[in-house]
Amino acid sequence: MELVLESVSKTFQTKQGIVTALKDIDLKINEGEFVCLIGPSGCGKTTLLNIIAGLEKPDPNSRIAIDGARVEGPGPDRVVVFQEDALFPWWNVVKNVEFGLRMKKFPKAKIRPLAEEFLKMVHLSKFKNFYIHELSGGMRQRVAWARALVVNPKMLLMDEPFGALDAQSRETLQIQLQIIWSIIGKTIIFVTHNIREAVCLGDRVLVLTARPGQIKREYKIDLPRPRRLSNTKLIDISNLIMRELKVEIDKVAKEERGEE
Amino acid sequence: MKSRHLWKISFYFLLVAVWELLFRLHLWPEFLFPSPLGVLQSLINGFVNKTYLVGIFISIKRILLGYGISLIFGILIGLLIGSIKILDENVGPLLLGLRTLPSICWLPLGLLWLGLNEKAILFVVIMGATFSISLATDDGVKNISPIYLKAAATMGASGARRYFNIILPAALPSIATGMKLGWSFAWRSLMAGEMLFVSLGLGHLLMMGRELNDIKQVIAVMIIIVLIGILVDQLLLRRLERSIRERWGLEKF
Repeated sequence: MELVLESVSKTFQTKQGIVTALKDIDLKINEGEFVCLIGPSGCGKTTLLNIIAGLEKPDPNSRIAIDGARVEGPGPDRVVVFQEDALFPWWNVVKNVEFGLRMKKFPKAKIRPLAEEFLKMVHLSKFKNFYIHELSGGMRQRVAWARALVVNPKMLLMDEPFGALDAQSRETLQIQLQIIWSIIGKTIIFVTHNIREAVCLGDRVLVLTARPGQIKREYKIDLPRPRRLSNTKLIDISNLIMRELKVEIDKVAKEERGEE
Repeated sequence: MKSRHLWKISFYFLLVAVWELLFRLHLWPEFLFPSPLGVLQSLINGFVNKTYLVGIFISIKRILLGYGISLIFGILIGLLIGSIKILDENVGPLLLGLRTLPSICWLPLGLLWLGLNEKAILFVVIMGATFSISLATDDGVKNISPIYLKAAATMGASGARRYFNIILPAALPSIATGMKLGWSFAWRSLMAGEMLFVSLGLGHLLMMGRELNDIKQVIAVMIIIVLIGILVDQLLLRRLERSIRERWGLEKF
């Protein structure tokens, strides 16, 4: 599996005029890679993820292809894991996990065992009959992983999935995600605004510029896994990236002050 | 919790005591202002000789039919205008207008079209309740959290399966609110309709009380009407709405 983006741009028409959210993004992601996207808020990292997911359309001359086939819309080969609760509260945990399989018209007899297998992987077998409102934030996130992975996608697109969680659950999930990723070996594209989280999780960290979003630099992270946030080398790399990003954050701040 | 119930009981006790006091002051003649005990006696008599029981039974039978039909039509219309833009733009404002029409205003039309009978009463009930159920359902469909739709799209849900698995359940909290609203409109409309002729329901018993100059019966039947209205609203529909909203994560109790 190989994901290729060629000169992907995205412009919006707003009342204030045309806004360029993304400009000429070229990117290649290999099978099984864990890629993190970071950037100042409003740089279009979520827009980029949505475009890869097929939930938003890029400008006409952009090209996105998976194994040479053009991406034309959403599909179960690219499942998105959202920050907010995108689990369905009207079903219990196991029914949520089964959802994608039912939509795919998977053979009925195989749906339940497969869903339970993935619940086991995220250590939630005991909670299969619980409703979503009865779970903690960290558990909900893991249900979302199981729901996404059960349909056997080519890649997992994660949009600030830990954004709403407290620091402790975040750290636990960072470790768990690395373990699961090492088992399933699927491509993950992970959007975050937390630099240390990006360095902790990614094989590569891509830094986006302030609007219009472009890839400013990319960092290869060669630290042994599973990594922890407290790793000193991880902190050093994060500080390095922080300096880079600071320039972009200042740009945004200036622009905001200018507008006032 | 306990002390709250105690307050409630004391409040109603006080209310009855004031009523009794006013009665004993003989400010108004007894045929205009009955005593609480007189009303209680009328209630007991009505239940013993079964006139009130029959009235309750007939009214409930009518409301089940009328409210049931309103629910089916109301939810269907709401889902349609919520999902189809052109219908929404054209039919939506019409429904909004029709909802403001007090249900009793449908009665002349019902009488002309259907005659002075059972059907006219049902017509008024249905017209009184359907539109508010439709509009609440429509509201529910329109305000579905976009995150559900995105998640559904990314998992490959479309067409009818998207509708029944996502849109309908996601709109359910609003539909429950609509059911509650619809119930109160339906119950009021039914009482208004029943007062018009020998319909044998609670509304008719109310008018019979007036014709017989029996103020005790009038008040007794009014109490029954209020109690049934509250019972269904609080014990049935509010609980349903609450449990749905709780599970949907919209409220914590």
